[in-house]
Order: sequence, then C-alpha cells, then structure tokens
Amino acid sequence: MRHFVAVVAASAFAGSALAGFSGGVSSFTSLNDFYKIGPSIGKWPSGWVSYVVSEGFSGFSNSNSVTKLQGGAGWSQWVLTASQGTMSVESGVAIANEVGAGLSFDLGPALGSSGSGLHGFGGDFGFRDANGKRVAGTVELTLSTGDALVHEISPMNSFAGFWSLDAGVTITGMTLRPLGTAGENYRATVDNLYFGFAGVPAPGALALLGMAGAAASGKRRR
Amino acid sequence: MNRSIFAIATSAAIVASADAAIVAFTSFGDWEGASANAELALFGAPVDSVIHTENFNGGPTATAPSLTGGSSWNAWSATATSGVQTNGNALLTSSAGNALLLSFLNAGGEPKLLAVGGNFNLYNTYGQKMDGRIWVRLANGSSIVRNFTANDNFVGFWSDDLAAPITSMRIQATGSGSSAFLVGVDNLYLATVPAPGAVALLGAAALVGWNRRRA
Repeated sequence: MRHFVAVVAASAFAGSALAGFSGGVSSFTSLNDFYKIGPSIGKWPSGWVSYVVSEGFSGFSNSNSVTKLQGGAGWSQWVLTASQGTMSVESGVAIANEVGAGLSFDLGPALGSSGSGLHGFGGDFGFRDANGKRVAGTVELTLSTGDALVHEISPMNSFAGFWSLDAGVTITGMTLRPLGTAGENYRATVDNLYFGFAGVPAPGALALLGMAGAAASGKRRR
Repeated sequence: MNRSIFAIATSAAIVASADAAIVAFTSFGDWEGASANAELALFGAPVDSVIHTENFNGGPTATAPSLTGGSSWNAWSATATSGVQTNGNALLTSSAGNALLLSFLNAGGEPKLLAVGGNFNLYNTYGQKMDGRIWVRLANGSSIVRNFTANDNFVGFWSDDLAAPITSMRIQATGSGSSAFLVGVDNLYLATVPAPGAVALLGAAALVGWNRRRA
C-alpha cells in the first residue's frame, strides 16, 4: 500500500455566501482532483488532516477463482466481492468472472463520534470483453451514503470516486454496477483503490508527518 | 430562448424511493434517459421525463444583478456577486472568480423540478472558452468536480425522490488559478416527471381503454 500525504489543517470554506452548499458528497472523475481537490474542499474541523493511500493489488497472486479479496487495516480496511460468482486476479487487476456481475466494496468501519476515518474512496475501474480486451462502458457507483454517479469509463479514463465532505459522515461501502452494454457483455474490473482519510491524526501519523516535514525542510536547505 | 419536450409517461406507477438520493451523471445521453431507464429504476418503474432546455441564445449582454427564465416547474433565476450576463449564447458571471448561483423558483409546486444538467465552461476575460475544473453543487450537498473541456462539458443530477425537488445549484471554478475565470453555462437542462396524480390518471385512462377494447 502506497501512502501520499496532503495535509489540510482546517476547513477550506466559510461564509454566508455558501450557506446551504456546504458538506455533502462530491463525485470525482479525475484521480488528480481526487487527491488534490477532495481533501481541500471538505468541511473539516480545525486540527484535522487529510490524506490518500492506495492499494494496487500487487500483493495478490494470480488466481482464476477467488470469492473475496481483502486488505488494509482500521479506517482503510476493505473487502471486495462480486455480486455474482467469483473473481480472478491477473497481474494486479481484480476481475469479476461473470459477465454483468457488479463489484461490492465493504469499507473501513464507521468510526467514533469524532468522524475521523474514511471520507474518500475511489478506484480505477474498467471492463474486459470476451477476448480479455479492455473496453469502455458505463457504471453506476453507489456510495454507502446513497449518493451515486453514473459515468462512462474507458481504458484511458478509468478513475471515479467520492469524498464525503461532512466531518461526521464516513464511507462504509460502495457498489459498482455495470449498465447497458457493459452489463450485458463485459466483465467488470478494478485496478487500483484509493482511500481518503480525514480526521484527527493518530500520534504515529503525526510523527510520520513531522519526519516528512523535517526531511523536506532538510532537502530545501541543502 | 427555450424549448420544452413532453413525452407521454410510459408507466402508470412511479414511486418515491425508500432511500432517496441524488445521482450524478457525466453524459447527457445517460442523464436524458435516466427516468425511463429500467436498469436505473430511479422511480421504481420507468417513466419518461419532460425536459426544458434554456440555450440563452439572444440573451442580454449587459451585466444585470440577476436573470430569470422559464415558468412554472422550470422557472429559474441566475445571480452572482458582481452580476450576470450572457454573451448571446451562454449565461456567464460578469466577473472572474465569482460563483454562478441558479435558483429554481417552483420548488413547492407540482410537478417538482427533479433533475438539472448543463454544459458548463470556464471563460477568460476575453470571452474565450477555457479548459478547467468546475465544482457543480446542489443545495442538498451533492456535488461533482470535473475538468471541463469544449467537447466534454456536461454534468447533471437527478433526485430519485418525487418529494425532494432540486432547489438551487452553484457553479464555481476550483483549483489552482480558478479565480482568473468566469464560469458559464451553454445549455441548461431542467427535467421533471409527471406528478404522481397525473401518472395515476394516465394509468387509469389506459386501463379504461384496455377494458373497452376487451369488451
């Protein structure tokens, strides 16, 4: 699992002009925006940090038939299953074995009243045709909050994700449903997962951030 | 300046969703056909929508505190901190860095406004379209952040709850350098489905017709 840190110390928005438009869930179709914009527009309390970690399935051996994949820990724990049948793992890509099957992600637990935890979730999604070729198709992604995104994904534009911008609302799951042609002919895939944390940093995380800051400062001074 | 399309409802029974939600779309075709899409089943059974389009052609080019249009369920008002205007075919903020607020004025009436969408763009101060990132938000909190280009500039939303209309939408540039741009909408699409009572009447009429044919 790779870690990328984008620290946001406080709420980015305030003021009466935005009354009624704060919080909620925002959809993203660009990984760059998911990393940079998502954490910065959350309505986080002062003292919170936010960052993104990713899972590339590189630790999973190739297999033709698995009933579930799981990984992560604590706020970033995840379990992946297909809505029908089993899945395969091919070179770091998880693939539903049945045409039209959806993918279900059970995600990190809803954490305590502080709201710290999983606020962002996304992935590189796709489809394979009968020959195993990557093809474009439409997905419906539905988050545990009820918010949904219908989006056409392609081999060149495979990312989709969400950030819950409310401090008190964490993400506990997401489903992917192939629609239209994709649902009738293709097998759904997921290549990488991205987990966005927002909350009160754990002491260990603070030390890590401090070391990263010191290292960066040292580099700038040399 | 606008056109309305009415399509006869294809189903006699639409229902409010038990878990009301907003669905975002990045394709006009998917948005346009959403209520009639049996797979999506926004309202239980498929039902055709009524879509009203504002293209802003011939709109006023002078800055005004607000612009209004539409009527009844598709009535709208546009405002921005330093005013709004059109360039003859798109609605724009008059000053860079402003957000464009669209308010929908018939929230309490029937039928309710259940879907909005648009072709959104950034403009430089010379009025030229620019690629860039826009954050489109509904007042209920649902939003989407996208990088918009001249050829890929649609975003839309549907409420799947007949009792939860869309009341307003805010469009603003976001990310690095965003304060240098005007935001605008080329086409604004507003949609509803027949009110439950009207749908029930259509269903009853269809049933009567069917019984007469059988008699």
